Amino acid sequence: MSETTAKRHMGLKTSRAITNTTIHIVLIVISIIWLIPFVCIVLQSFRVENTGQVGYVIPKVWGTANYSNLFQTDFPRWYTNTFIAALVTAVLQTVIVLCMSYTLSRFRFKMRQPLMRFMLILGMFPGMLSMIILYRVLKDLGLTQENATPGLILVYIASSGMGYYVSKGFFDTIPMSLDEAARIDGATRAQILYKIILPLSKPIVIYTILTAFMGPWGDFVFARYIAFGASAGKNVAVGLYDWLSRDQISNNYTMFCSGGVLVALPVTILFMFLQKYYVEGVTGGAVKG
Amino acid sequence: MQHGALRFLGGVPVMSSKSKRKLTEFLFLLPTLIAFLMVIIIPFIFGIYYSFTDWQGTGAASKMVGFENYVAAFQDVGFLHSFLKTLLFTVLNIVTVNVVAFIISLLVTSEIRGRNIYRAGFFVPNLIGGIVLGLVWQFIFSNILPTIGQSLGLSTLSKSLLTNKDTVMFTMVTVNTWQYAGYIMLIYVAAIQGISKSVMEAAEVDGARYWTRIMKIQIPLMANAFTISLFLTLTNSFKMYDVNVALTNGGPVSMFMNKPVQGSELLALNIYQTAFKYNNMALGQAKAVIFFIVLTIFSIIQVSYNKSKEVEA
Repeated sequence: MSETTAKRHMGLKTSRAITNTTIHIVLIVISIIWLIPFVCIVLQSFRVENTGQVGYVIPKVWGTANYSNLFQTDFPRWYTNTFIAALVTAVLQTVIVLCMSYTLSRFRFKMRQPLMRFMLILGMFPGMLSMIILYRVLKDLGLTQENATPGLILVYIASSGMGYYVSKGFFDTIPMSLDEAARIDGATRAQILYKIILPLSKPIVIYTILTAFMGPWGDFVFARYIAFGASAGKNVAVGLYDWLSRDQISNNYTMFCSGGVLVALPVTILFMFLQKYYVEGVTGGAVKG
Repeated sequence: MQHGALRFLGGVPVMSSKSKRKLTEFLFLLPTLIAFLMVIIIPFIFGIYYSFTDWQGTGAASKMVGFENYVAAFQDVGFLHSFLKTLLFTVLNIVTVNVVAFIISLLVTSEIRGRNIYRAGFFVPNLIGGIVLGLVWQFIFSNILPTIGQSLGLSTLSKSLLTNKDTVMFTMVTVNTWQYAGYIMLIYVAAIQGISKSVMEAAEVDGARYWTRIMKIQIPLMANAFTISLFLTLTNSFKMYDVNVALTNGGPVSMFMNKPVQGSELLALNIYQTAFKYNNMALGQAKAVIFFIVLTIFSIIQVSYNKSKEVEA
């Protein structure tokens, strides 16, 4: 190695160190901005001297009263509603989405392309407008107001077939020759899906479960309309939002914050654990698809 | 068919294996199909149908009124204003979300320590529903920032940015970018990782500078990811509802074509208010159909434009 290349190498090394430090600084600055709302909501949830909105962030008196007060309200009920809806939806939607994606990825039938395009375009229709008619359908079935949770589950899973996009993309990356070999060996389609495709698709299965869980967890538009003011049928987003109506906000703001923290915690923890798979799921599905 | 019947008489299975398979496939699809029909297709078809009637949302009989609701929608100043605001919001939002997401994705794919933590962290706002986070931002904009503004003596900050019709759009774009950029970032991260190292190294050896490498190699090779990201941000911005409700609920009042309108009311909220607050279901449906057609046209144009720019490595 000549002297000049060695020098150049040194230069590269220092310049790389400088670049890395710069990147770190930029990332830390962005992260701080990103964290501000979370810091706000956590700090406010421990503020006990005043229950309304105030002009400062750090509490003057700390306490956990906002959390214990939650249990005197309908909040536990809302939390249960949301949790049940999210859990059931996660299970059923995952099954539907994976079957749908597998079908669209592996089967070749006459209406395949039109069907895919149709569902993508149907997704453009503003959901809230089908809501009026949907509400009537669900009301006839007795699934509104106090019984909103099963009604909501129906709504969530019914539209789940349209979410085939990412997982189909992932399945497309698994070579067809694997299926063909298994078919020759006498495996049925279902066996291929369970024994060959799914074990190879762990990231996308987890991605699908997570997405399916998060949708109902944060849903507001449908949940609000289908619960239609009945407190027992609300989910957390609706319940918390209603706490902040103009005449109630001064009593409920800090309690809203503690509720918000409890809503954010499980999904954040879940995500932290499954983060690796989630990223791989998006990687394989959205881009290569 | 006849053949099958004959075989049945002969005591062998009724159906040929092909039609049996078809039936199995159909049975598997049935539950999904029923739910899909009930929750998506029927409301969709009825929604279009009711937009041509004077339906008021109750069971009472309604009569056909032709395109009257559509004419009324285009004469509604509030609707036109929402339309323009939504277009503005969509353009601003697509640009900021994608620029921020792209920059962050470049940063977190560089060879630094802790990049996975950063990736997860930027994604977290996406996990928690827009309504709760929107309400937290509402508190920051209406309480915290004015306090900081007053103590620093900045006149623009000392009043809530949410009540000023010139800055309210900026707050919505900020919140949406904060919430959505992490998701788009993941797509870009995935795309960047998909570009083979040797291509980038070859360019580096050939003396291409960092900027040139990004513009001439990375971006063209990531075209696929841009198509998806732009499509997602386009539809997401156009449908924006919960952040809009949580932050401003449509306010403040401003003037448009000499009439008072809700200054930050985007299309989805306008449609919701028409249908549910003013109980004008048929007009709401007509507005929704217009919304649907416009969004479909925009996204088809966007996707086919982007597709034409995609290249193979």
